[in-house]
Amino acid sequence: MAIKLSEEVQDEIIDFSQEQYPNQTTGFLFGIGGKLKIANEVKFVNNTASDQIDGYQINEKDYLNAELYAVKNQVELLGVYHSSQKHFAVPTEKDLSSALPNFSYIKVSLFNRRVSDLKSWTLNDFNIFQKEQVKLPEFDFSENELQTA
Amino acid sequence: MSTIIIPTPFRKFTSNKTTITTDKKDTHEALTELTLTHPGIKQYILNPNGTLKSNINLLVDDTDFQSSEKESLPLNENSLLAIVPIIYGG
Repeated sequence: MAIKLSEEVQDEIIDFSQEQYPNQTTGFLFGIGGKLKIANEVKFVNNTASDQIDGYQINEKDYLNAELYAVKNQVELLGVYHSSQKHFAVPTEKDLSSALPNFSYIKVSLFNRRVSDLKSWTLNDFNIFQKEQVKLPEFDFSENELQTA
Repeated sequence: MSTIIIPTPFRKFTSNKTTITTDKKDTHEALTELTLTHPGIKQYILNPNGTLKSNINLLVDDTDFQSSEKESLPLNENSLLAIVPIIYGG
Protein backbone atom coordinates (compact mmCIF):
# COMPACT_ATOMS: atom_id res chain seq x y z
CA MET A 1 0.00 0.00 0.00
CA ALA A 2 1.14 3.52 -0.76
CA ILE A 3 -0.27 7.01 -0.83
CA LYS A 4 0.70 9.75 -3.23
CA LEU A 5 0.17 13.39 -2.30
CA SER A 6 -0.39 15.91 -5.03
CA GLU A 7 1.91 18.92 -4.96
CA GLU A 8 -1.00 21.16 -3.95
CA VAL A 9 -1.94 18.91 -1.04
CA GLN A 10 1.64 18.66 0.15
CA ASP A 11 2.15 22.43 -0.04
CA GLU A 12 -1.14 23.21 1.70
CA ILE A 13 -0.36 20.83 4.56
CA ILE A 14 3.14 22.17 5.04
CA ASP A 15 2.06 25.80 4.85
CA PHE A 16 -0.85 25.37 7.26
CA SER A 17 1.18 23.29 9.72
CA GLN A 18 3.91 25.93 9.83
CA GLU A 19 1.44 28.79 10.03
CA GLN A 20 -0.36 27.29 13.03
CA TYR A 21 2.81 26.21 14.83
CA PRO A 22 3.14 25.34 17.71
CA ASN A 23 -0.49 24.17 17.63
CA GLN A 24 -1.24 20.85 16.05
CA THR A 25 -3.33 20.95 12.90
CA THR A 26 -5.49 18.34 11.23
CA GLY A 27 -7.56 17.70 8.14
CA PHE A 28 -9.12 15.12 5.87
CA LEU A 29 -7.55 13.75 2.71
CA PHE A 30 -9.71 13.02 -0.32
CA GLY A 31 -8.94 11.42 -3.65
CA ILE A 32 -8.78 8.05 -5.30
CA GLY A 33 -8.53 4.81 -3.36
CA GLY A 34 -6.78 1.57 -4.26
CA LYS A 35 -3.39 0.01 -3.66
CA LEU A 36 -1.86 3.34 -4.62
CA LYS A 37 -4.07 6.02 -3.07
CA ILE A 38 -3.90 9.45 -4.63
CA ALA A 39 -4.69 12.36 -2.34
CA ASN A 40 -5.51 15.38 -4.44
CA GLU A 41 -7.54 17.38 -1.94
CA VAL A 42 -7.17 18.27 1.72
CA LYS A 43 -9.82 19.93 3.87
CA PHE A 44 -8.60 21.42 7.10
CA VAL A 45 -10.85 21.18 10.15
CA ASN A 46 -10.65 22.75 13.58
CA ASN A 47 -8.52 21.06 16.15
CA THR A 48 -10.93 20.76 19.08
CA ALA A 49 -8.46 19.29 21.58
CA SER A 50 -8.33 21.19 24.87
CA ASP A 51 -4.54 21.43 24.57
CA GLN A 52 -3.79 22.02 20.90
CA ILE A 53 -0.04 21.94 21.41
CA ASP A 54 -0.20 18.48 22.90
CA GLY A 55 -2.87 16.87 20.74
CA TYR A 56 -5.62 17.06 18.18
CA GLN A 57 -9.25 16.02 18.01
CA ILE A 58 -11.85 16.25 15.26
CA ASN A 59 -15.44 17.23 15.98
CA GLU A 60 -17.95 14.50 15.15
CA LYS A 61 -19.95 16.73 12.83
CA ASP A 62 -16.80 17.63 10.91
CA TYR A 63 -16.18 13.92 10.46
CA LEU A 64 -19.72 13.32 9.23
CA ASN A 65 -19.46 16.28 6.87
CA ALA A 66 -16.27 14.78 5.42
CA GLU A 67 -18.08 11.51 4.73
CA LEU A 68 -21.02 13.31 3.13
CA TYR A 69 -18.67 15.48 1.05
CA ALA A 70 -16.94 12.36 -0.28
CA VAL A 71 -20.22 10.75 -1.30
CA LYS A 72 -21.55 13.92 -2.89
CA ASN A 73 -18.38 14.55 -4.88
CA GLN A 74 -17.71 10.90 -5.71
CA VAL A 75 -14.28 10.91 -4.14
CA GLU A 76 -12.87 8.70 -1.45
CA LEU A 77 -12.13 9.76 2.09
CA LEU A 78 -8.62 8.38 2.34
CA GLY A 79 -7.65 9.38 5.85
CA VAL A 80 -6.46 12.22 8.03
CA TYR A 81 -3.28 14.11 8.60
CA HIS A 82 -2.09 15.89 11.70
CA SER A 83 0.96 17.94 12.49
CA SER A 84 2.93 17.69 15.68
CA GLN A 85 5.79 19.73 17.05
CA LYS A 86 6.38 17.42 20.01
CA HIS A 87 7.01 14.12 18.32
CA PHE A 88 8.73 12.54 15.37
CA ALA A 89 6.45 11.47 12.55
CA VAL A 90 5.69 8.16 14.22
CA PRO A 91 2.42 7.24 15.95
CA THR A 92 2.03 7.75 19.69
CA GLU A 93 -0.08 5.66 22.04
CA LYS A 94 -2.73 8.35 21.76
CA ASP A 95 -2.71 8.05 17.96
CA LEU A 96 -3.11 4.29 18.22
CA SER A 97 -5.98 4.47 20.71
CA SER A 98 -8.33 6.10 18.18
CA ALA A 99 -6.95 4.52 15.00
CA LEU A 100 -9.31 2.96 12.49
CA PRO A 101 -8.71 0.27 9.87
CA ASN A 102 -8.45 1.06 6.16
CA PHE A 103 -7.48 4.66 6.82
CA SER A 104 -4.25 6.54 6.18
CA TYR A 105 -2.80 8.54 9.06
CA ILE A 106 -0.29 11.07 7.85
CA LYS A 107 1.84 12.60 10.55
CA VAL A 108 3.84 15.74 9.92
CA SER A 109 6.65 16.53 12.31
CA LEU A 110 7.84 20.08 12.90
CA PHE A 111 10.87 21.38 14.74
CA ASN A 112 11.39 25.10 15.17
CA ARG A 113 8.45 25.79 12.86
CA ARG A 114 10.05 23.84 10.03
CA VAL A 115 8.53 20.65 8.68
CA SER A 116 11.19 18.01 9.24
CA ASP A 117 9.41 14.81 8.33
CA LEU A 118 6.19 13.38 6.97
CA LYS A 119 5.14 9.77 7.19
CA SER A 120 1.95 7.79 6.66
CA TRP A 121 0.69 4.94 8.80
CA THR A 122 -2.10 2.39 8.50
CA LEU A 123 -3.36 -0.35 10.78
CA ASN A 124 -2.48 -3.88 9.74
CA ASP A 125 -4.74 -6.91 10.29
CA PHE A 126 -3.54 -7.11 13.90
CA ASN A 127 -4.44 -3.45 14.56
CA ILE A 128 -0.79 -2.45 14.76
CA PHE A 129 0.45 0.62 12.91
CA GLN A 130 2.61 -0.11 9.90
CA LYS A 131 4.37 2.41 7.74
CA GLU A 132 2.70 3.21 4.45
CA GLN A 133 4.89 4.32 1.58
CA VAL A 134 4.41 8.01 0.80
CA LYS A 135 5.06 9.34 -2.66
CA LEU A 136 5.76 13.03 -2.42
CA PRO A 137 6.61 15.71 -4.89
CA GLU A 138 10.15 16.89 -4.28
CA PHE A 139 10.63 18.38 -0.85
CA ASP A 140 13.88 18.93 0.98
CA PHE A 141 13.63 17.78 4.60
CA SER A 142 17.40 17.66 4.90
CA GLU A 143 17.87 21.11 6.41
CA ASN A 144 16.71 19.78 9.74
CA GLU A 145 19.12 17.44 11.48
CA LEU A 146 16.34 15.90 13.54
CA GLN A 147 14.79 14.19 10.56
CA THR A 148 13.91 10.58 11.32
CA ALA A 149 15.14 7.70 9.20
CA MET B 1 -36.95 2.04 7.46
CA SER B 2 -34.04 3.90 9.03
CA THR B 3 -30.69 4.30 7.35
CA ILE B 4 -27.31 3.68 8.97
CA ILE B 5 -24.39 5.63 7.52
CA ILE B 6 -21.28 3.44 7.48
CA PRO B 7 -18.02 5.40 7.83
CA THR B 8 -15.37 4.76 5.19
CA PRO B 9 -12.96 2.78 7.43
CA PHE B 10 -15.68 0.19 8.11
CA ARG B 11 -16.97 -0.28 4.57
CA LYS B 12 -14.55 -3.12 4.03
CA PHE B 13 -16.89 -5.05 6.32
CA THR B 14 -20.09 -4.03 4.51
CA SER B 15 -19.04 -4.91 0.95
CA ASN B 16 -18.33 -1.20 0.36
CA LYS B 17 -21.91 -0.20 1.08
CA THR B 18 -22.09 3.40 2.29
CA THR B 19 -25.47 2.88 3.97
CA ILE B 20 -27.44 -0.03 5.42
CA THR B 21 -31.18 0.08 6.05
CA THR B 22 -32.82 -1.24 9.20
CA ASP B 23 -36.33 -1.61 10.55
CA LYS B 24 -35.14 -1.67 14.18
CA LYS B 25 -36.69 0.80 16.57
CA ASP B 26 -33.63 1.92 18.51
CA THR B 27 -29.88 2.29 18.08
CA HIS B 28 -28.99 -0.66 20.28
CA GLU B 29 -31.11 -3.05 18.21
CA ALA B 30 -29.88 -1.54 14.96
CA LEU B 31 -26.20 -1.86 15.89
CA THR B 32 -26.69 -5.37 17.21
CA GLU B 33 -28.27 -6.37 13.92
CA LEU B 34 -25.51 -4.61 11.98
CA THR B 35 -22.77 -6.46 13.84
CA LEU B 36 -24.53 -9.80 13.36
CA THR B 37 -24.93 -9.34 9.62
CA HIS B 38 -21.48 -7.73 9.23
CA PRO B 39 -19.39 -9.24 12.04
CA GLY B 40 -16.09 -7.66 11.00
CA ILE B 41 -17.32 -4.27 12.13
CA LYS B 42 -18.13 -5.36 15.68
CA GLN B 43 -14.69 -5.07 17.27
CA TYR B 44 -14.47 -1.45 16.14
CA ILE B 45 -17.83 -0.16 17.40
CA LEU B 46 -18.88 -2.35 20.34
CA ASN B 47 -17.16 -3.52 23.48
CA PRO B 48 -17.37 -7.26 24.29
CA ASN B 49 -20.32 -6.51 26.62
CA GLY B 50 -22.24 -4.84 23.78
CA THR B 51 -21.79 -1.24 24.88
CA LEU B 52 -20.57 1.43 22.49
CA LYS B 53 -16.80 1.87 22.29
CA SER B 54 -15.50 5.11 23.75
CA ASN B 55 -14.11 6.34 20.42
CA ILE B 56 -17.42 5.90 18.59
CA ASN B 57 -20.20 8.44 18.63
CA LEU B 58 -23.72 8.24 17.24
CA LEU B 59 -25.60 11.03 15.55
CA VAL B 60 -29.32 10.47 14.98
CA ASP B 61 -30.87 12.86 12.48
CA ASP B 62 -27.78 15.06 12.93
CA THR B 63 -28.34 15.38 16.67
CA ASP B 64 -25.47 14.62 19.02
CA PHE B 65 -26.75 13.07 22.24
CA GLN B 66 -25.13 12.80 25.65
CA SER B 67 -23.00 9.70 25.95
CA SER B 68 -25.30 8.19 28.61
CA GLU B 69 -28.22 8.27 26.16
CA LYS B 70 -26.44 6.77 23.22
CA GLU B 71 -26.79 3.11 24.06
CA SER B 72 -30.47 3.07 23.15
CA LEU B 73 -31.74 6.04 21.18
CA PRO B 74 -35.12 5.67 19.47
CA LEU B 75 -35.19 5.49 15.70
CA ASN B 76 -38.19 6.87 13.87
CA GLU B 77 -39.42 6.07 10.38
CA ASN B 78 -36.74 7.47 8.03
CA SER B 79 -34.23 8.23 10.79
CA LEU B 80 -30.62 8.70 9.75
CA LEU B 81 -28.18 7.03 12.13
CA ALA B 82 -24.56 8.02 11.60
CA ILE B 83 -21.77 5.98 13.18
CA VAL B 84 -19.06 8.55 13.74
CA PRO B 85 -15.54 7.70 14.87
CA ILE B 86 -13.97 10.19 17.25
CA ILE B 87 -10.59 10.95 15.74
CA TYR B 88 -7.90 12.21 18.07
CA GLY B 89 -4.24 11.81 18.83
CA GLY B 90 -1.09 13.82 18.92
